[in-house]
Amino acid sequence: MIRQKQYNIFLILVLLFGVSAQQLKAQVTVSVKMDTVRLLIGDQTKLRMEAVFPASALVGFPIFADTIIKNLEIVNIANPDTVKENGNLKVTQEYTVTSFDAGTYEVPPMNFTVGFPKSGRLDTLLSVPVYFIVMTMPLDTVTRNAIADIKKPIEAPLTMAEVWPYVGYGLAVLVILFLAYFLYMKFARKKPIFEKREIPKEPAHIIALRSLDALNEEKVWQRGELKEYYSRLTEVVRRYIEDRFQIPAMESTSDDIIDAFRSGGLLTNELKNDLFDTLVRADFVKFAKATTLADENEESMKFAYNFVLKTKPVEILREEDEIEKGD
Amino acid sequence: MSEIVDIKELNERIQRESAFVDLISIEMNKVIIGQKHLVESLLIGLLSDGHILLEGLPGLAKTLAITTLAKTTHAGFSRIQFTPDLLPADVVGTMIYSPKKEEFTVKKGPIFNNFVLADEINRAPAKVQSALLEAMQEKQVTIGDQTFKLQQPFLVLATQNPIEQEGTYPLPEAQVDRFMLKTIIHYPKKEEELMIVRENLSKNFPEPNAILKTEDILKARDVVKDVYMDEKIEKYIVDIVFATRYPAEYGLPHLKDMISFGGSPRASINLSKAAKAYAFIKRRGYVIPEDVRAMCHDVLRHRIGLTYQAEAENMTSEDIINEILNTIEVP
Repeated sequence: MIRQKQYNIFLILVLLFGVSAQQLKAQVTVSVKMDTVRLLIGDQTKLRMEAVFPASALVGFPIFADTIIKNLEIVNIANPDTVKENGNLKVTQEYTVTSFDAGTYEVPPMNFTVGFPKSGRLDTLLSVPVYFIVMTMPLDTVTRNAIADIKKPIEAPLTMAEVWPYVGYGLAVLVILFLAYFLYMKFARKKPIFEKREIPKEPAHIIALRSLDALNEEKVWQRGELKEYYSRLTEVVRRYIEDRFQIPAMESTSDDIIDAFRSGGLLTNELKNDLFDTLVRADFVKFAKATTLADENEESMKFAYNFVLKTKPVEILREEDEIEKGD
Repeated sequence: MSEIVDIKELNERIQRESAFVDLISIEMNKVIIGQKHLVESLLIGLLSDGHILLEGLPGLAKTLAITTLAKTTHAGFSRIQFTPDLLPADVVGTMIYSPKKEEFTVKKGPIFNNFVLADEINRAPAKVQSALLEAMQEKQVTIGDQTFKLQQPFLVLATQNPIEQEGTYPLPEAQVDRFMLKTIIHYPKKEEELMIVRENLSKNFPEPNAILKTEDILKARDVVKDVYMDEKIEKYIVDIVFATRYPAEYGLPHLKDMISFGGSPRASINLSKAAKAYAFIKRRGYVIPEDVRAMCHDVLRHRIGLTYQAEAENMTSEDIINEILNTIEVP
């Protein structure tokens, strides 16, 4: 009788503990799913293992390295994703899988280990088996025996990861081309890469008149330095011609300068003749040790002033400016 | 320049002494139609004791020009046709054994003349070329153990054909440098060619008159040396020649890779001499920049070595000289 009582108490305890463990276990759900059940041979799909469990529990996922089952190969293993859902935790482990053998397959129930640290209990949950079919390319049943072209492999969609290397190569090529051009310009051509902008100069006639004033004030010919006087005088006139008329007078002989004016209608005949006389006289002094009279020296200076003043650009005043001046 | 020069007196003297230039030009123009530049170059070579390398196609009156010059000056003339089998002895002369006298006697070559036309100089091998060029430089020839002075004036006019380079022996740079001028002659103008045809078909081909003697040429050479050249002109000449050596220093850095070698000091000397002679034939007692520029191409074109890069870019020594002349400031 006593033994019967003791047995009953033990059974009640076992049932009580069993029920509470069963309740906790009921809060844990595990699943294994595939994105598709009809997979084309060589195509890729996702296999998701999912476990939802209370925060107080621990769940151990089955671990795979290369294959899930025979003929279902793993292409990529994603990092487990954990989400909180209604006070429970939802952990998803995603595998990218593929198969290269046609047929019908079963992913058998998988063992998920469930642990309850508070009670020290350890249990195992099994997932529902998953079935899927790996198909070959569908045959054209209408023209079954017809000869067909070899089909190209199905192109996978282009991803940014594939594009970036090419963008990188393109940029690298551009950088190399720019560097090559830079070095060529710098060393082979000896040209500045970025040319300096020229600062606008003073008008040619201002420079010429100032130089003539300076030459006049220095009284060079009065000191007997005739060669120096004519060298500087012709240099002023030639530089003025170069800047004002864009004729390379500094690198031209007297004859060349006269010829340049002869062809264009830039000067009056009087100015042309005077220019010719002055340049020839200067050549005599500079290269043939000729001596000139004081009158001739003054006449040359007078011509230089006259030449600059008569050929300087004419300022055209706008109407408003004239009104302002009138006011 | 410390020497005192009376330019007025010099100018008058040169006006007087250079009168024959006009006469020679008239006589030469009677025979040579067009080719004014060729006639001018011959006179410059003659007056400044230099030799001329003439480049032009066949039939452009090269031989006629030098024979006419010889006739107008009462000078001796010989023509050597350079061929691959020519020997130095054919140019300078040799020792010949006389069985009768039982001794060697000297047989002088065609080089013993006032004017020598070395026709197609680049067709003979280097040893013949150097025999001629040595005589040009030293103005004397050694045959056996005897040395003979060449006659004065002594002018060599060597010709080269710019086409048909096959089987030729191009003159080395060091030997080309010995020619004072390298003159390029071109085809005559249409109206000039018409006159050439008419003159050659007429019964009386004009004959030049002898205007002066060889002694007069030697005298004129002394006067040419007296032509006044100012320090500014000397500097201008040196600047031009230096620009062929160091173009970057004269604002022409892009020419640095185009020139393998520039003008030697002989270029400066010859440019000065040629400028003086040019002033003389223009009947002036002093040199002006125009004279230098007028002679620049003839004096420098064979003294500038071009790089492969220049050849690849179709750049010629003429282009380089033009760029230099357009960059260096005229005094």
